[in-house]
This record gives sequence, C-alpha cells and structure tokens, in this order.
Amino acid sequence: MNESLLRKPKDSRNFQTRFIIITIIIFFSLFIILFNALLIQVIRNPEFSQKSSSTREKHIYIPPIRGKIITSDGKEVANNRTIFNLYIDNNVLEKNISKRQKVLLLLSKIINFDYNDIENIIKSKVNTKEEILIAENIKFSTVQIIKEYTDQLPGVIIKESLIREYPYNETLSHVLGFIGPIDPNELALKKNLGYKQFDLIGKSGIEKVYEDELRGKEGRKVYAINAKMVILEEIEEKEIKPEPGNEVILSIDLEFQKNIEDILADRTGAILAIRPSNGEIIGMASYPRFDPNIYILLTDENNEKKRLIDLDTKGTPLINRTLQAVYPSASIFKLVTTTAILNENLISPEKQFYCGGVYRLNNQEFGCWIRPGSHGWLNLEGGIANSCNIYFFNASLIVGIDKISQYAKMYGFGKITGIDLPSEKAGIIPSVQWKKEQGQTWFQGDTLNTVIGQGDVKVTLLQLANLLSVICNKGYSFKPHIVKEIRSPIDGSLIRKIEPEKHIEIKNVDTKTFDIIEKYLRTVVTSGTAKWAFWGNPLKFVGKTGTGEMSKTPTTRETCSLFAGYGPIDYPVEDRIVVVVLVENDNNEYLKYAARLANMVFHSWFTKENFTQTAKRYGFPIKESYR
Amino acid sequence: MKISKFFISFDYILFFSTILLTILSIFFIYSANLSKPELHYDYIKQIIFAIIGLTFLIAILFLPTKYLTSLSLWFYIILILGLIITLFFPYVKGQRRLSILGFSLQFSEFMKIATILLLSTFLAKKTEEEKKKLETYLKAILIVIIPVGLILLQPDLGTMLVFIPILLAICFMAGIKKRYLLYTILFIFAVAFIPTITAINHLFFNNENEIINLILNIKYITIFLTIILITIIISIFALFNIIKGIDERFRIFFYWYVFFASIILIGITISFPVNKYVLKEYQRDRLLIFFNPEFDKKGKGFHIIQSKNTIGNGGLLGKGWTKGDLTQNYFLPEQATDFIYPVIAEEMGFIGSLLIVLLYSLIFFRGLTILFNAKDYINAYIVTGILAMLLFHILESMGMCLGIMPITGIPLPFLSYGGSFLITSYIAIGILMNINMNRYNLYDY
Repeated sequence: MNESLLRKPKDSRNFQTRFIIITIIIFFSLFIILFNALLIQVIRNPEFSQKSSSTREKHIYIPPIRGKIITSDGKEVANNRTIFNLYIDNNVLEKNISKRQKVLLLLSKIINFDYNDIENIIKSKVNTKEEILIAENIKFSTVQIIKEYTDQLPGVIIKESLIREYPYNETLSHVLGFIGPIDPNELALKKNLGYKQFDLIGKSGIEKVYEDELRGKEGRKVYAINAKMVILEEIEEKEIKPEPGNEVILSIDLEFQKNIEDILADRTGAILAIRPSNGEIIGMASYPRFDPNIYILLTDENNEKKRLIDLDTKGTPLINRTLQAVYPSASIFKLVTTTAILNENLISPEKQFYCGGVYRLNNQEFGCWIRPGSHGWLNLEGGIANSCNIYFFNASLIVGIDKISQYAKMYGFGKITGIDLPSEKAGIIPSVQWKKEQGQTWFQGDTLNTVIGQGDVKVTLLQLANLLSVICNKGYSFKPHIVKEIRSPIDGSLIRKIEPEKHIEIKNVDTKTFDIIEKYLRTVVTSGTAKWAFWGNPLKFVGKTGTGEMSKTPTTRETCSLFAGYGPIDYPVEDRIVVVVLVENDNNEYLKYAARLANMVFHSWFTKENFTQTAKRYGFPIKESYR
Repeated sequence: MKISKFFISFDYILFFSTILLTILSIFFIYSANLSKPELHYDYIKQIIFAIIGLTFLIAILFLPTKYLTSLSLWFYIILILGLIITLFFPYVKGQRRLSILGFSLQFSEFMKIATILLLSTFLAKKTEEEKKKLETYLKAILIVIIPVGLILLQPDLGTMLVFIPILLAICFMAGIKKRYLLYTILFIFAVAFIPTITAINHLFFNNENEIINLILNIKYITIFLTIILITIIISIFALFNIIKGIDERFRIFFYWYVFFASIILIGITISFPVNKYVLKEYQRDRLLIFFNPEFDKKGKGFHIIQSKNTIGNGGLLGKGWTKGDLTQNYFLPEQATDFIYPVIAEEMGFIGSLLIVLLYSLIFFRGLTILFNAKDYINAYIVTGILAMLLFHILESMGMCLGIMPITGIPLPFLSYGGSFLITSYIAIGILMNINMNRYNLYDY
C-alpha cells in the first residue's frame, strides 16, 4: 500500500492550497455567469425587449404617391402614370416540364418575347422567393390579352405600379429635373429621414430641391411572423397609410415657356424671364435640353439616350445655362461702372472721350468693338448707347478697380442669388485682393478688361437678371424663385406660399441715378446698339446688349451674344418683366443676335402670341434649324 | 451496508439539486419543443433518460469505491473501442453518430468519466517525486490524447474541448509541476493563433487586412520559424553545456528561452494543419464572432444575437412558462439542446437564471465538501475531474448563450435534452455521492 494513500489528503498543506484555488475558480466562474445574466436580463432589459418585438414583425412598405408639379397656368408638368409590369411566380408555375413549356410559350407569343429569354430570366433568379420581373411597362392591349388567357397562364401575374412622367417631355426639363434610385452617398445623408435602398429620390431641378415636399410619407403594413418568415397575421393597428406628396406650383407660365423655347429653338444658349416686382421666374429655357422621361424606365433605348447625353461634353444638355454655367458679362457690366460714375460724381456725364477704335496702354492695344471704325467723341449716354469700349477704358482708370468691384458686389455679382434650383454658380468678380489670392499682381490692363466685363469677370444669367431687376426697382431686388406655392394634394388647399424675399437692397445710391441709367438704357433701344432689334415694337423696353468673348485663339474667336433688358417702362413695376438672352457662338450672325430674340420674348409675353405669329410680325425667318 | 447508515450518509443536498434541475429540464424541453411538432415527445424521452440515469446513480451508490479505480482501465478500453466503432457510422448533422433504432449512443460523453477515473488512478499511484517528472505528465497527456484524437475524427470539437480542463484540473490537484501546465495552456493558445488571425481577417477585414495577410504569408512564417529553430538549437547547446564558457547564471535564461520559443515554434507549426484540415471555416469564425455579433447579423452572428435577445427579453420575472415570445416562434436554433438556457431565461427571467446558478452552486458546494473530505488522493482527483467537467460545461454553455464565450455546441448539465450526457452527469453525481458515503471506509481496498 502506498503511503500517500494512507494519509488523508486534507492533512497535506499543498492540497489545502490547491483546494482553495479550485474553490475560488469555481465560484468566481459562477459569479461571472450570474453577473452577465443580471446585466442582460435586468439592466439592459428595455433595450432587448424592444429589439425582440421588431424581429417578430415584417414591415411591408408602401411607397407614397409623389406630388405633382404644376405650372402657374394649371398644367401638370410632372405627374404619375400607371404602368403594368409582368411577373412570374415561380412557386405557382407548373413543375411539370411540358406543361410549364406550354405556359411560357404562350406567354412569349403574347408579349412578343423569345421563349429562351424568359427561361433565362427565371433561371437567373431561381433562388428568390419573390415574384420574378419579366417585363416592365407592357402595353395595355397586351394586358387585356393576358387577362383573357388567365386560366391558361398559371403563375403569370400583372401588377400595376406608378411611375413618374413628364408629359411635356423636353419642355422645362432643366427646371423640373428628374428622379432616380438613391445612391449610397445620398442614402448615408438621408437615412434618418426614412430613405431606404432602391428608393427614388430627386436628382436635379425642382425634383431635388423640393424633394421633401414632393416625396410624401411612406406607409407600411405590419405582419406578425415567426422565425421561418411565415406571415401569421396582419397587425392592423400598426398600419400606416401612405400620404401623397404635396403639389408644387411653379411661377412658370407653360405657354410662355413653350414660346421662349421655340424662340431659342436649337441655338446653344438660354433665355431667362423674371418678374422684378417679386422675383418670380416666368420662363427659363436652356438649350441643349434633355427628356427627363429617359431617366425613369430602364430600357435599352433610354440607356442609349443617356449615354449620348453623357458623351456630349460640348453641348452639356444637363447643364441649365441660366444658372449652372458662367459667362463673361460683356458690355452689360458697363452698367456697374456707370452707376459708380453717376453716384459718386466721378466724371461729369457730359464729359466726352474720343473713340478712335483703339486704346493704347503701356504699348498694349485695347480695341473697341467698332474697330477698324470709330465712334468719335462720346459722352456717358453715347458710351452706353453705342457700347463704346474706349469711353469706359478712359472712365475705368478714373473710377479705379476698387470702386468697380465694390459696385459689382453691391449688385450681387460674385455670389449666388439663392434661387430654389440646385447647383447655382457664384461667378467671379475680380479685384486686387482676389488676384493677390491667386498669386498674381494687378495690372492696369486688368482694369480695362474688367470694366467691359471681360477677362476674369464671370457671371450667371441669373445675376444679370438681378442687375436689371435692381435698376428696374430703383435700388432693390427680390430673391429669384421658381416655386410660387405648395398645395395639398388632397383638397388643393394652400400649405405654404413662397413670399418674396429681398435679395439686394442698395441704400447709398440715389433713385435718380437709376432713373438716369434707365434713360440711357432706353437710348440703347431707341438709337443705340439694339435699335434695329426692337424696331417696330410699340412698347417701351429698355436694355443693354453685349458680346462676350468666350475664348480667343489666333484662328478662331468664339463669342456669345447677350442681351439683358426690362420693360415696358411706362407700365407699373408689377407688370414689367426682365429678360436675359444668351446665345453661344453667335459669330455676329443675324439669326443669333440675342437682342432680336429678346424683342420676340417681350412681345410674346405681352401679346400672348406664339413664336410663329411673333416671328411673322417682325419679319424673322422661320426655319427648321438656326444652327 | 446497513440501510440506516445509507440514509444517514446519503447526500440529500446534492441529490435533490440534481433532481430539481432535471424536473426544470423536462418542463422547459416541453416548452422549447411546443412549436415543433416533430420534437414534441422529446420531453418524455428525457424523462426516460432521467430514470435510466437515476438507476445508474443508485447502482453506483452500492458499488464499493475500489471498483471505480480497479475497473477504470477496462471501462476506458471498452469506450475507446466504442469510439472507434462510431467512426464507421454515417454522418448525422456533420458528425459521425452511433445510432441504433433511433437512439444514438455517444461514447464520447461516457468517455469523460472513464478518462477522469483512469487519469486519477494513474496519478494517484505515483509518488510525490514521480509526479514532478515530465515523464509522468506526458503519460497523463497520452491517456487524454487518445480519446481526444478519436473524438476529433468524428468530428466533435465541443466535446473534445472538455478534456482539456479535466486534464489540467486533475494534474493541478495532483501537483504536476506548474510550468508544465503553463506550457500546455500557452501551447493551446499558440495552436489557436493562426486560426484566430485567419478568422479576424475573414470576419472583420473581409480578408483584406494587409498586416494579417503579411503574417499569414507562408514565406515569412517559414523564415520566422527557421530563425526561432536556430536560436532554440543554440540555446539547447548552451543549456547542456555543449557550448562552453557560459556563466551558470545565464543558464536559467536559456532554459526559459527554450520554454517559450518552443511553444511558438511547435504551436504555430501545428497551427497550420489545424487551421487547414481540422477547423472548418464556420468553426473558425465562431471562435470570434462573439466579440461583435452585429458584424454578421443574419449569418454567423445570428445565433448569438437571437440568444441574447431571448435572454434579455425575459427581464426580471420572465414571460411565464410556454409564453416566451421568441422561444415559441422558432427564433432560436437547437433550443432544447445547446440553447436551453435562453428558453429558461426568457420564460422565467432573471429569477430562473438565479435559480439555475443557485442549484449549480449547491452541487459545487457539496462537491467541494466531498473533495475536502476525500479519504484518499484517488477520490480527490476523481472529484476534481468531475467538478472541472461540470464547471466547463456550465461556463461554456451558459457563457455562449450570454455572448461571453465562443460558440461551441455543448450541453448544459441536467438541463439540455440529450440522453448520453444526462446519464453521464447522473453517473458523475453518483460517483460523488459514492465517495461521500464511503469516506470513512478507510480500508476498503
């Protein structure tokens, strides 16, 4: 017998130590377990009990009906259309191969599909339990035929769904924008607003800016389920009915919009018409345009069109040229300097400068547009009426660049107007400070370029419209906006009215100064550069022409023709409109002269005549294309 | 043995804790399978198993303690044969199972008891000096490694893991040198190294973590291991005085260097085949998913999230028997076997958890008392082994449900559905009670 067996273990010192260690380990482990149970069951219980109730419900979301977009004359420019989609329920579809073939062959004959295509679609999605989408947007006549053959087509399902539709296609496309599936970045930003993957969201234009109004509220049906995802029952008290999105009423007049689009025709450019008395935009055309409907349904045809749009880097159809592109402001910018001259009495309006066609500064030549001709002696009124560069070169060196950029900023150049459309450009107004920030020094030549709106001056048409609005209102302007009011989709009652908001308010300029400028602008139309364009128009419009140099190479010279004006000046301010017209690559062509188009725009607004009538009245050639 | 003596020395606390747990088990197996018609009669089967277990328990009480040791080798050999036979049976749920007439017999469960008995017998016969030798420890490991290897071939990772605490606990109690035990523990961690970082890379970095990919690159590992091998050889030379002129005081440094470096060398070398052939991908991922189950909510993290939800949903007082929201709606997998604890926790709340832990504590309290009063070392080691087995089962099974342990499906003693382990547990309790009864029969050999 072993000795160790004869002695009781507990008498050993070592045994006692080990026994204590083992005891500690056992009760410590049990304590850890109990502590964790306490933590989860008692302390963190609320969090878990909430969690577990949501896992036992299945939520089926019902998308809301998107709000309509309506113009001021009551036309629906964006609404929803019912389409029919064809699905196949694989669970109901016959398992017997020959019967199944029979069904699919009949179906392929009806919807004019290849039998193998249908088989391939089903095969590719054989693992999904949901119904398989076979064809989208099938014709109503086809739907009728399928309904006739229902008993021969088990497993074939037709479902209705609503899609966005823009009934006027290209008209107003830049303003409306379009909707599309939400992308990961947008999803990350809008997740807490209830957006989910595959939701549709406004991608540009009104659809984007007024997304919150148009979207409506998502509804849901709640079902109780078990872990095998089998629906047990509907929980009706938790059901939320979807709320349709609000109707957005535009200040655009659709008839007028169509007219100005006809007037612009296929010239690359833009036309903007705005009411100076409250900032409402009544017409906004930009060419090239696009058809927003191609972004809604994913068909091969639409994809091809989208691809062509993406490839068109010169025409850039998606760019709204009234506010998403910047141009040299050209001679219209002379009004800024004129304001400075008149307001601060820097030069007498009667002081004359001589225009010989060329201005020399430090061995550099700066030309007038009339070169090789000349304007002769001109005072301020003559300088504006004839848009003489030489007069303003002389004047600019007296006024100085600091004053010019100060007045330009006062008029709202160099900053966004805050219109309710996305991606507005701010433009650039150069100054000594600005050029320093670019790492360059200011030369006097830069002053000469700036005063005639060339060089680094970059403005949007909206800012030009704003400039004219300030002059028209004699010292203030309203924030341009395109949406007039938001209405309830149910009873059409007013939910929100967009009140005009002051954008620019100039206090230190006398109203008399604006009267004088208006007089000068009238001279432009009666006897100046826009004389022939407005010939025969009985209403008293005022305006300023401009020719901007887009790019200059030794061989080619790309210019753009500009006109900004308002009127009629004998009408009350509430009835006047401001019109800005831009045509790119005008090459001094008669048919691309912006002032002529502006005249027709004015006429069309005040007489409600369409393009053909207007063009006939002014002897404007009606052509298929004006390119 | 006289009847009166039997009733006096009968361990009522241990016995009734066990019976109470079994009754709880039957009620909650019924509740867990309520929504599964095909498993509806499992609770009746559990009653039958409990009765069989009880019969074994009573039978063991009348067995003289010395047979436990003298028969242990035969018991061990028979079960080894049983494990070998099991390997010729077809797979059921990914494991080879010996099943006859619908009842499956898991020798691996009974093997735990046999190993405890044989290991205790083996170690108790060694003198204090012999126990300090490495040779003894290696033989002890051999006793354990045979069933472990056979169980791994089934393969049944969870059951295999139980043998590690059994080995460590008995050897610790027997006074094997602590550095050997430390070596074993570190060695197991070293073997787990490659699977762990592979799982980290797979789960949390989508196999794209550059540093881990660099570590896992076989080229760099080979260079690293070669360097360690060379240094080990140099150290061994220095240690055994083949390289002469080294100060005696530095010997100890070389000893510990060989100690730790060999763990790294052998552990990581074995780690590669373990990673590649033994562990499946899901097992590797399960090792780590409990750190952050939200990472793969619907896949690997599903069990653990659902289990925690179910436990948390119980609250303080529970939802009531057969009224658990999640339990009754198929949300938990394997809820009668591995995930029985969440069922109890949801339907009885924290009170239920407290009750279970209390009953287990009573068992351990009695177990430790029996251990302390054991009449000799064999019995002390047997009790230690049994307590280690029960503790590991409780800690792993409940810890897994609570999300503090990796997921391995092992049953909760007395509560989980399953005949073999229930009978094993009853046998274990029977052995405890037997040792308790005979603690004064000093010359019962």
